[in-house]
Amino acid sequence: MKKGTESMKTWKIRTGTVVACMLASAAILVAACSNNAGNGNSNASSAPSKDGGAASEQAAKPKISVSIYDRGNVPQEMGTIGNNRWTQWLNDNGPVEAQYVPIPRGESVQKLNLLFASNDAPDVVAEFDTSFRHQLYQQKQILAVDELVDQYSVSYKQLMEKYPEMKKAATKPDGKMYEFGRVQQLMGFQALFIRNDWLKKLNLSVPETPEELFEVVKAFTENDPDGNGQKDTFGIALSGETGGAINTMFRDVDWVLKDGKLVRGWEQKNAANAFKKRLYDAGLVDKDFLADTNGQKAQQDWNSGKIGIFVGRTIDPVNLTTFYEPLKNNVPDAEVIAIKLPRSEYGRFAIGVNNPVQMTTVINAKAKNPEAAMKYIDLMASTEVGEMLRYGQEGADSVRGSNGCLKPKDPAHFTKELSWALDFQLLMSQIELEPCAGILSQLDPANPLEKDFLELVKQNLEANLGEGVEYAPITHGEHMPTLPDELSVIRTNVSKVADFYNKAIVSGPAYTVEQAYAEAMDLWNKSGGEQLESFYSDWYDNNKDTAFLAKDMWKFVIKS
Amino acid sequence: MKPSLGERIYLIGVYMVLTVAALMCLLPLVHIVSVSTSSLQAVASGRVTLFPIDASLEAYRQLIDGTPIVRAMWNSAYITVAGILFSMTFTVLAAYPLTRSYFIGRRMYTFAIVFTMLFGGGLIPTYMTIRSLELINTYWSLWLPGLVSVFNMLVLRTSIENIPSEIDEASRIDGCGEWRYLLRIVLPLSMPVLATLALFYGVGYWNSFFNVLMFINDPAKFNMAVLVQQMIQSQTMLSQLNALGSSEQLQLSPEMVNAAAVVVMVLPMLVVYPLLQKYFVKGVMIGAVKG
Repeated sequence: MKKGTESMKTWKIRTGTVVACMLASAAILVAACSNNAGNGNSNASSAPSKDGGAASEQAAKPKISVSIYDRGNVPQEMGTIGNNRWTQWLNDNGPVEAQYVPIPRGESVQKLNLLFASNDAPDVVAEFDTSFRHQLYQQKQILAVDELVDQYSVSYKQLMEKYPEMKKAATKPDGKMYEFGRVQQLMGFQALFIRNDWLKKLNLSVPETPEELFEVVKAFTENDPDGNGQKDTFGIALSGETGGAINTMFRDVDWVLKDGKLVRGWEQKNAANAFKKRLYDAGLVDKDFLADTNGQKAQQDWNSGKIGIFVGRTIDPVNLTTFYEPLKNNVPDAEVIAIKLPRSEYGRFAIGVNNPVQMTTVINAKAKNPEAAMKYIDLMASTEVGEMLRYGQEGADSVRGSNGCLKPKDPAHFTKELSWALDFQLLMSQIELEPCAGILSQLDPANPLEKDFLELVKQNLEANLGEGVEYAPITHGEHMPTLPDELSVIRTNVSKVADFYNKAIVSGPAYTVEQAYAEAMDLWNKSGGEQLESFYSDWYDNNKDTAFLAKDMWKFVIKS
Repeated sequence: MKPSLGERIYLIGVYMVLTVAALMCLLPLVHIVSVSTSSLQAVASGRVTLFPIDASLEAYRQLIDGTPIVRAMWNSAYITVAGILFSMTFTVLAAYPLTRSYFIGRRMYTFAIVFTMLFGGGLIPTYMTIRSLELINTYWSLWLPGLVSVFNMLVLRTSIENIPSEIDEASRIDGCGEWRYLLRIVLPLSMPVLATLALFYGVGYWNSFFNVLMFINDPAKFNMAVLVQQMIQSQTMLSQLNALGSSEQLQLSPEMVNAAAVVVMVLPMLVVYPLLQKYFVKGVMIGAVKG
């Protein structure tokens, strides 16, 4: 009897547990169903607005999927980056119905990798990262496009005929073309700004050699150029892009030509770092420059008028508000000029230029309708679409200025409607919209600040592209060959070399550049650096006639 | 009783260490708040440290007008509230049976559950599973894979195990069944632990970033963590890469707007912590008085 109640009790309890389990699973089911219902609703409600009025017309168009960078900057009332005024316009006016797959800009490579690995990648993929696109090529994830261009393209084919370098830049080692891109004029991208009012005040001239540069920097630091009676200025920045420009001055760009061979430029590296060490030891730069990893502190010092020589940019009207306007607000008397990089024993080099032929887009090898993908690319590369995406509707969004170029009608309206849509221009060849698209036509000479900056842009064009100025690397970084996996590991291992040199800059006599060089060589040899050397030198020997090199870049120099 | 000299020195030391630690946590937040309420001119010249300069709420206006922050905030709130409800329900339902000695296979289940703490499937298999379940682009891809955190479940199990068996027996004698026992006895007695776990889950869901990034494709469904990270990331990327075309530069949101976004994202968690504080204190007390 007792045993009976006992088992009854266990049975009851077990039933209880089973019931609990069933309830739990029921709850999951209910939850899952309600989710579907919710989804259905939201789809139903969003569908009409998506298709707009042209629903029936679009039914016949082939569908493709296209990646688009998402930067979290689309105003809420404009929709999302994947569904907005411009995607609707493109689908209404284009030959295909594109479905946009937003790719978060910050993690784009990771997200695209995931999508490719799980066969979910869009048909048309846009990505700036050259090595990622090369990886897709090596994995045979993307299509060779020569035939597609031949058969289906109109506007892109015309562009390629006009600018044969596009094919050169898009061709992969197997001799076929895999990428699409855009063409821009070659411009001075980075600019070596110097405070001309300081030069005048201290009776100095524009430095032409590293030695003169050192003297100017020394005077800027020690002779109180801002006249406030305190020694609170720095001659030059060492962090951020200014540090990079000092490297460029000595042609410290890792791989350099020597007797027709591409070799590692150790000598140049030593010279650049010895110069930086001299500046540091003489107390002419911010002692904490290593902590300023992205150059922000240096930028703030420039803005507040505490640095005399600084590398900024002159490629876009937005640079005015970053590099010039704050300085003029803080120091109304400041006078800035953009100068040439001083000539070192290695030559005189451009500070930094843009990539005139930039590859951005590939077609997924698994695309169901490559023809439609090609037609989409053709659409995006056409001048009319480019103009529409850049300036919006003439009349509504833009008006023609006195120089005949389209300009935003109302800046606030333009920002809201268009400024976030720049990622739809990854196939737009700006050179076709010249002379209107460049910064020279976008700045308004009637505005005093813009007039000043226009002058800086012109000075910087001369500084970067003028007579006797060379490009320090053999080509733009995006056109350098991509390392195979095992060699990228080596490159990562030897990247510590930079730490040795930084240590040398800040350690005074305790650790010299020679010691850093010895330690760097040791690491280089131990890590298999000679494999990198033979890779680059072989690549150059085999490809110097076909690769897209500096001389090709210089074909896109602005003709004024 | 007056503290002795040694005690006083000890206390001074403790206060100093705690003050430094508190300042280290507080100052970055104060700085961000100040940056978000200062003028662009002051921020760009590096003049803002602890107090706002030329105070204005312009950055917040730009944030609300120029970005989808309001939508992202609602999404975050929705993910968090629903997520807490689901996770807490199933954590309780998993923890309770594992404390019952008459639950057959208890050790096996516990082992199976704990095993998942040691091994994961990796990103791509997880993604493919989620995709096959058709959960991509739905918030279920956030809720279901992390429905029950094993660690939280074990904490709750331990706490339930510590409820004296006499209470169990007494309720049984009074005719209490499993459900009533769980709902009326166990849960009220575990309130401090439940509050803590809800907070853990809440912070987790509020900050969920990677899963949203990978499993949600529609930007209209992004939460604040993803949005804020996007805004800040595009700025850092810009300063790292010289090779970027001009189009990338225009996309920069000013630093104050980013700071404002950070403030908006952190604020709700700052508000919630003090509200739950009393439960933590209770949680400490519960074990203290016995008998």
